[in-house]
Amino acid sequence: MINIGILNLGINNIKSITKACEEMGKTYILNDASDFLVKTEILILPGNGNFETGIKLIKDLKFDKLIYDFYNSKKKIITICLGLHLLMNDSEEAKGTKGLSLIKGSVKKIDNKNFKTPLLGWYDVNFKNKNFKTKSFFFNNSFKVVPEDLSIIEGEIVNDIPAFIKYKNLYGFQFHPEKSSFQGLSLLKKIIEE
Amino acid sequence: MSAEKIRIIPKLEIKNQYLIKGVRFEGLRKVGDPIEFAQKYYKEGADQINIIDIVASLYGRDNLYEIVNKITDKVFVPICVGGGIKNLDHIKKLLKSGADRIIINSEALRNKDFLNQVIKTFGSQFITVSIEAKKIGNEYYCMMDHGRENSNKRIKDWLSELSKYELGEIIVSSIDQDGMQNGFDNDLALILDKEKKITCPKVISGGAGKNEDFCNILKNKDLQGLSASTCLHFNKVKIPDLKNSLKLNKININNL
Repeated sequence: MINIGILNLGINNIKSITKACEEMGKTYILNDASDFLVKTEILILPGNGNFETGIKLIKDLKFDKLIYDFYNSKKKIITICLGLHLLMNDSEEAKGTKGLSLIKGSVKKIDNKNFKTPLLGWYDVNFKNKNFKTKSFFFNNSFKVVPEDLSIIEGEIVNDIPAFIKYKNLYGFQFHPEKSSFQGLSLLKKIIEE
Repeated sequence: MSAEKIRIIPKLEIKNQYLIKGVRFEGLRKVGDPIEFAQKYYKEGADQINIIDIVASLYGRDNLYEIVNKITDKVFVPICVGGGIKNLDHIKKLLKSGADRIIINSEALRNKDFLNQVIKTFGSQFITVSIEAKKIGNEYYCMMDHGRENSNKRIKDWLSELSKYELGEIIVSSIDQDGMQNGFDNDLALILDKEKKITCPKVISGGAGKNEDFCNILKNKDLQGLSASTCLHFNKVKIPDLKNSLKLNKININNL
């Protein structure tokens, strides 16, 4: 069984991601950095909500150092929605607030006249990796990540709306695999077991 | 084809621990166990499930938290919960039980500060505003407390006010068509469609009885979701068949 730790920022519904991961490994929740278990093989940073609040909580709970150390140990970090945003340098949602800066680039407001905002609903995601078929997943967000290195975008809805990022040992879902029915759970499982 | 996929959203109305259904919000009958129904709809391909506690304000809410908790153990699509939500404490408890978004109706009409407060605390995409419409004379009015009280605000006026807020979603339900199974209320859907300043997704609810009703209401309107209860609870419409039928009509849907 893979040991999975889920970071609880305390502002989100982490129940669904926890329940989803229980099917795939041995799961535990970290309410602050002191809960970390050395045997952890995968760290999950879920999230929904405001960038500034997210960063503040990460610092308050001492998750920042934990995330950096885990990243340097080359073990997998899976981030979801706001969790992905927090890996970037900064965000239009909270000017002046610094992100974790593990991925170079910014978080920007979605501005594509063909899409309603917030993105709330199911959208088809096309993946670079041909082992992942185009399927629809559940999105609920008004912001998107814009990495400096566009080649780390592994999945997208359209050209300017990234949906899945892979950079070294960091994985980022813009959508919610834990809310995307059978196709979401199966993708999450693939990434966990990859 | 629009970028947005049309969501099919079963609505589960809860009274105490039971799934119930009435006609025009009256003559409530017990239908079964809401947890079993939620699991069935999830497996069949529901894109979201809405849960409304219709007597929350009268009997307290502990049953509701318990039901949401049990549903989210096994259902991995968005779960939106409403009914008598009046304060941030209710919302926090629902989040803890596994709810993804909350649905607000009466309290938004009574107290706009509350709406602002919820947006500020949890983020705009976290909120669905539900509007329950009743036609009186030639006008549609916003009803409160599960149809028991008239706010005396016209639907079109309320939609225009709501267009100034950043919201996650707006659902308009017809009380007159509720449980009738002879089609959604087209005039009401047109009023919702007409308010173009609203940028969030729009959902229409109430009256569906067969697959064609879902296809018909979408014609020439910019809607993103269709909600139904009676026809699903009593097996008049099955979600896989409905999705096939929408697909045949070239409607963009989420295929499992």
